[in-house]
Amino acid sequence: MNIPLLVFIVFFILIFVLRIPIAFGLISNAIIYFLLSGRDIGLAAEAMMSNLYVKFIIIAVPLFIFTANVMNTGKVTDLLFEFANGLVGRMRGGMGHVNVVASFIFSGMTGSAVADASGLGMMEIEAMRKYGYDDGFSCAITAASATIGPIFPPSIPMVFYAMLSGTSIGALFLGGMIPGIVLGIALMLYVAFIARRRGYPRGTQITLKQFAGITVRAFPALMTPVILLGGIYTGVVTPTEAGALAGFYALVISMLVYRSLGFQHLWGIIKDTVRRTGTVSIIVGSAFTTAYVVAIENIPDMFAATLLDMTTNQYVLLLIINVLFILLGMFIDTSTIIVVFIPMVLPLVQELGIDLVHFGVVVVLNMMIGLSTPPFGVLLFIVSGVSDTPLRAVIKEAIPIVVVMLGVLFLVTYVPEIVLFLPNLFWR
Amino acid sequence: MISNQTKHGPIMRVLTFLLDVVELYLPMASFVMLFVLFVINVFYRYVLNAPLTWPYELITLGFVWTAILGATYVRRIHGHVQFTLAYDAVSPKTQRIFRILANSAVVLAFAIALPATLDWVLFMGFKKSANLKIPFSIGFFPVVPFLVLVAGHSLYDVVIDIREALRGAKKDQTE
Repeated sequence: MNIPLLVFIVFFILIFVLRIPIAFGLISNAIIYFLLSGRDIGLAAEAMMSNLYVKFIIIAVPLFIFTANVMNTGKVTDLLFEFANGLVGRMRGGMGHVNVVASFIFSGMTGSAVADASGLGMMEIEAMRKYGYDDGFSCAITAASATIGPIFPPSIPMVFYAMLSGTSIGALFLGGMIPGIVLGIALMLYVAFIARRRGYPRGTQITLKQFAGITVRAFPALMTPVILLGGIYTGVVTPTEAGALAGFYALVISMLVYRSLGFQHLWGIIKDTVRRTGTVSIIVGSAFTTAYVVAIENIPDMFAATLLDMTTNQYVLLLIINVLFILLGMFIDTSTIIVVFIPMVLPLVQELGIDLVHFGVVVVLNMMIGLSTPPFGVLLFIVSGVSDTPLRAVIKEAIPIVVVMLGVLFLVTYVPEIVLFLPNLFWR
Repeated sequence: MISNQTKHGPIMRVLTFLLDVVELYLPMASFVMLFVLFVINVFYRYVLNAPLTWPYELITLGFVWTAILGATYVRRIHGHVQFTLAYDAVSPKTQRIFRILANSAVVLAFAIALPATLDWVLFMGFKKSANLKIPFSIGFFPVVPFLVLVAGHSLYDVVIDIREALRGAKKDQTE
């Protein structure tokens, strides 16, 4: 092994040991590699800036973040919750079901699990608390339901994956629809099982007339996913334009229809959008510097050869990759995993003839499980933090839910039609 | 953090304001620009059936400026994604050593990269966007303040940590 590559690997490990901000660590690592290997150090900036400039699809990310911020600041999340309550609240364990359904609808508007858990999530936990649900259970189901966000379209991680793999974002979004629905149903079945066992109450019984009133009030908000996804699939707008359109629509209904958002809120919303965009995009940018070095050193081929030496069975390899990505998802941020590790496994996936849309959805689902897997899943920290619930209580309740999610992952991994049915029907 | 030093007087206040301009107000304005242009573009294309091409150039520029300058603001508020498992497992003294090493590595690497990066950015001035003829040196320029400011914030943290370490050592001696 050459010295620059050895230093590159050692420094990569140090990023995680010394707690260097991952983005700056990756950039620094590439700079040191270019210096030691006698290359132009300006390549680090070039790899980062040129890629951010030409990968137009990534501009969807700040737009989705902005839409989620508008939704969370305005009255939209309240209305979604009310609507979900009218829809499934009367069932046993009603608030648990409302939690899943509200997150599911919200997922059609944003595409970020963190936005769901930290915004809508707080409302969901408080409502469940009011009805006497255990705090740990409320938090764990909120974390799990938030993971539907990036699986059901739109999805920020899928935007990154599309950008790196060259896969159609439209096909990926379609591919995530059925797995998102399957995950939602699996979580609702689990809620029903626990509610029966622990005697959790039914939610508020509302009349058909009341429900009609709620639906009319929530209707403009409920149209957001229709505009977003309808716009993309009718070919009227590109996914990036759909992001802008959804943000604009959310702004219009929050300011003019619901009158819950004033100009004074806009400053905070834009500031937070910049903050989140800066956090996520620089990781992507920095990963391009790493990807440059990884390509020079031919690491993906080495990685592929090592795995292919172990087995050439498609299913076994998918299992190995699944386990690897779940473990990574428990410790590392989703965008980092996608931009750093996906390019390493892509040649292998292509060589084995695995469909890239199928693989993309499997990877995203997989990382979402990592995000809610104890003890290091980020979503568990978020729900524990926003609700002041001890992490231990959340972790105890999260373990069986993760098992349910793993069941869904197994199904989606080994029955590719769950992912590919819709893209094959409408996209190809 | 530099932003917390406003109570120290007018110089720090001016410095904080300047930092806010570069790290916060500029990326906020860039985001508003890209968002508004997107909406205008969709309107022209689908409602007026008269597609515009020039907004795309400003949209990509707006995105790069938002992302890169926004990242320097996130560094100022210590909001970047970090892997904390190993760090959390060690004593506060060792944590301080980790912080000093981590920040020093970033300062060193970014300082090394600065001249070559500046050369590259200036070199890109020969290339211009197709419609508005904006030189790429303007589009890519934020990477220069990005390197300077991230290195600056990191250096500031190194100084604070070393100062606290020395203060702690002095206190130990007197005790």
